[in-house]
Amino acid sequence: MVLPAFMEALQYFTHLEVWLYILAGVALGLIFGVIPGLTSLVAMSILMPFVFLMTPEQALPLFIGICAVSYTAGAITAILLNIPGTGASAATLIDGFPMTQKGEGARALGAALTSSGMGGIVSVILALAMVFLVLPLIFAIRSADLVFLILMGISFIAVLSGGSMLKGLIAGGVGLIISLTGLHVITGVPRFTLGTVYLLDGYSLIPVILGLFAVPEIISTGVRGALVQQLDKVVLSMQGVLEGMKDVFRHWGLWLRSSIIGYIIGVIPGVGASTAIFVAYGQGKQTSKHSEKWGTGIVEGVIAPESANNAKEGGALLTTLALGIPGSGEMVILLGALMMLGIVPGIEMMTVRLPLSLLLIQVLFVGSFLGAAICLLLAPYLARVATIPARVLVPLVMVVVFIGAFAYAERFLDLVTLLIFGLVGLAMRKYGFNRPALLLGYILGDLFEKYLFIAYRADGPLFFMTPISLSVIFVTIALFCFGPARKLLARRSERGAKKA
Amino acid sequence: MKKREEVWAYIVVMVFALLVMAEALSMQYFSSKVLPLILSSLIFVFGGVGLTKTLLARDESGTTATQDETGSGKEDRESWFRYSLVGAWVVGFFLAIYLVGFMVAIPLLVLSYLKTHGTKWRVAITFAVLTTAIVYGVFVFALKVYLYEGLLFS
Repeated sequence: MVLPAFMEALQYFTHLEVWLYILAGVALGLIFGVIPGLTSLVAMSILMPFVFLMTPEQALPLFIGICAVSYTAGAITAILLNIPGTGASAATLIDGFPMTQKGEGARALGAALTSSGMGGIVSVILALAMVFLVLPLIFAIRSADLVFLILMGISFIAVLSGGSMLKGLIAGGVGLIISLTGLHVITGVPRFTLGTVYLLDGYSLIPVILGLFAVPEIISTGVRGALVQQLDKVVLSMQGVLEGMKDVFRHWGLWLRSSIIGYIIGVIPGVGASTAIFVAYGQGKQTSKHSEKWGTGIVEGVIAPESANNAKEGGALLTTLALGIPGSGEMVILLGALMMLGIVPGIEMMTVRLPLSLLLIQVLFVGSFLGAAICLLLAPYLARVATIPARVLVPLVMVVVFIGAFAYAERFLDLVTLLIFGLVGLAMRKYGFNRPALLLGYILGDLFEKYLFIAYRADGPLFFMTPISLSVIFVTIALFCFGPARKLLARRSERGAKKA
Repeated sequence: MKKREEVWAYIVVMVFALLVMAEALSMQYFSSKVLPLILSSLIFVFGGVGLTKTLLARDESGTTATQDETGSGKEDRESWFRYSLVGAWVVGFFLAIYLVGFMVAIPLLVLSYLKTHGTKWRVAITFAVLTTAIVYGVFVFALKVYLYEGLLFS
């Protein structure tokens, strides 16, 4: 079943159109990845309104192209300018920028881009291998299990993606409530519609995503101004870049270990790239023969985090497609795009649409490779993108956001929704509430209520007594116990140390 | 983040949960109100726990919100001023679209943003015209997207 689907997916690459969409995604991912503050999340949000103009085979490669390279591009500004283009490049600058100061910028860049691109490739190979393991599990899942899988997904994103657990849970809950807006599918009762016809269908996904993610980032960029005021002429020797590329193969064990760490962390929903890079950096330092040199500008310190940050995407993609549980903010938006295209992740993506799922994994492979190659060739020019003044970027991107919010359904009230959710997003950003958790709750809320209803009607109040449901409930409870238990243990060891 | 602001954030969350509860209680069927009631109750409880934790943390540290603010008060006010400025521009953009539509609002608002950020007239006008032309070319001409014409022109 998998091999014919794999071959069918490969056939898509004979269409020039697919390549054009991947290239467009890669180009956007590189530009948004390089500009500090404007992440791949913003790029994907801006593209969301135009998904309805495309087929799944066009829209999804575009989105995956962005995911494949945004972390790769972030390394350029981290190494050359000491400013991480994305949070996932924060560990790269610890050794990357000192290397630039020592005159080894080209070598650092060569190592970073090669390990990042190849890390993505490792994760894709692992993801393809995992498809065989995931398939039997998918067929065993019932409606009741899906209820708890959705809850687990929201809990993971809320608890593990940083910040306060309470605020994450509140955000996820609010997202679920927002998703209930509109006509109740079972009774036909209008809920939270404020007496308007506009809300009978619920809030449109596009203005909600743009409001939560794009508007706050653009306003913050406008307030902050340009991070990079000026850039001296960057000269990168090809010899240095090649030396960096060779370094990855010299330290292949570190690269492989870090890539696998990135992949595993990617599979766990909610644990972002920032965690993956620091875990990879930490293990690299611990296993190094000269750990005391880490942080002073050595190439291993660049290879470890860069291998992990891109490798994470393969793991996150598979859980999103197979279970509908996104592993990162980008995957939450991808899930939204899937829903808009009428595709429900899970059984459908692993059976009828298996070729499409495999195509997306292959696109991630191609995108990672293309992104690394383009970055190696155009790094000095891409670094200059980061110097575009905020006063030019802000109005331009805001215009596209307003048009996008309106164009999807041609309703002026969608602009009101955009403003309201922009305000909500800005407040959530300021007060540390988890925006991906809210969006995930909002996207999966409809399915959650539907599965809950079906499970209750089919199996009664004890619908959760299935092996998968009980396992998922156990994992979720363990997740909530993990944080307090760790704190308790830390306090005890502190007390023990004081007594001693 | 200031503790007073955090307290307010949790109060807003709790008020939101109460409003949802009130609305849910007025719904007709049990199956339509049960999920909103459960979710809003949970959010109310989480908000309450967060509020209590924040208030207790303030008591333990012995600082008050006012004391907290004195150090970076000026910085905060400047930050709020900058946020208000960009926020006002966004709201202005929205109102302009409502009144005169996208194709008139875009050059006006791009021009106003660039001018308030110290760009020279010639550059600002060129950029505003260029942005409008690109928007027209890409969205209206190529993608055939309908752009709202505004209350005055429709």
